[in-house]
Amino acid sequence: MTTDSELRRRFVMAIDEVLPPAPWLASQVGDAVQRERRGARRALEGGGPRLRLAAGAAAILITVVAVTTLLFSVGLHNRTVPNPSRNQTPLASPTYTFTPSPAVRAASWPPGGTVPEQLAGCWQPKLLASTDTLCLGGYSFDFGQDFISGNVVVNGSEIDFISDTCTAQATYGYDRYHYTVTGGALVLTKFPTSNTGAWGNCGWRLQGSYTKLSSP
Amino acid sequence: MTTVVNALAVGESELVPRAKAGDQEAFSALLSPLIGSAYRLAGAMLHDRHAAEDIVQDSSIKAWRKLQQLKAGTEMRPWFLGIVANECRSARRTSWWSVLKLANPERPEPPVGDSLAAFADLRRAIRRLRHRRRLLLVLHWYLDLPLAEVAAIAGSSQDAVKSELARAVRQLRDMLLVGEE
Repeated sequence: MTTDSELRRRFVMAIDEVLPPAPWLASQVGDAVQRERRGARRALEGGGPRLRLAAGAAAILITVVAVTTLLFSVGLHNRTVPNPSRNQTPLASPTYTFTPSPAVRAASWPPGGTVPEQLAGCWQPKLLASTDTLCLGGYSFDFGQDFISGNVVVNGSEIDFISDTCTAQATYGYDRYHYTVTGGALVLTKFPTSNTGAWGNCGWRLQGSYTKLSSP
Repeated sequence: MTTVVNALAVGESELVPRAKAGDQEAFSALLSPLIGSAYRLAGAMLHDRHAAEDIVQDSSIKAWRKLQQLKAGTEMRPWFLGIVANECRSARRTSWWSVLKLANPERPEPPVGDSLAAFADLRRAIRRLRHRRRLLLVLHWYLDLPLAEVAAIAGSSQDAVKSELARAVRQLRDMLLVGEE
């Protein structure tokens, strides 16, 4: 039987063996952050008088198209299934705001309704010093600014997280949990039989305790 | 003329407000000393140097975007390593990673001699540990961080970290014993 210090020594050597030094990484990361910053600044300021003019014209055009589309969609309504995808998060945004989707659900989802008032809002995982939060509202959820998002239905004490990220075929899958809310604490307990069959495999491990951060 | 900012000379308490105000040099001065630890953390969690490089880069951009969330009095290192740890967890959680990396965690490694083969067994055992236990072991054993800092990154008390570390070591030993039988 090895001692703890011997096991620790072997632990370090075992990892070192597959992890060569990467001295260039710091400058590579510095460049990436700089690109990110420039991209954000360009997005905010534009790149010169001509570009700003073109951007202004494009913005007007987009606004006109958006308003027209909105008017049409309000009038004709409404077979659209809301599913806020990760791409909808503005990349350069320094602050992130969760926006629940409208109250429309797809027939193919599991039974259930919108997120009740006691669940709505953003929740901080207790287990890790996570900077990501689980936000719930309407038929929507979002976990982490750049990670997973999708729809959610609540049926009694059951909450199902639905997303097209669960399957490689981009069909919907869902992950089932029991939930309890006591005071400002949310506990999610995973159903043992979820993620089977045509629903794909999410395996998000949302199970755990959360602390309330904000209400919508 | 560019002023080279040295995190040690200037001090975190001065650099953080400057970085929050958009000073990228201050942010670089804060981040640069942590890149090595971040890479080692991601590499030890994922056992893949390329994935580790990607994680460190993504985490750095995320840290830049979320810098406003760094609370006054919170140290940069545990905050940033917490982001890296979460990115590793997210990477392991996504479907493509599960399929590519976790579908067959027992895949044989090339034979490279007895001592190195023993390391391969150890790595397989480390991969079988749950994320949190692996994280605690990597932070304390591999990065040699004090328990207080491990607890800050893991969002636990020191006592909880200590007892979970003991359980992680016990589990690792058990898995290695099973492997030897």
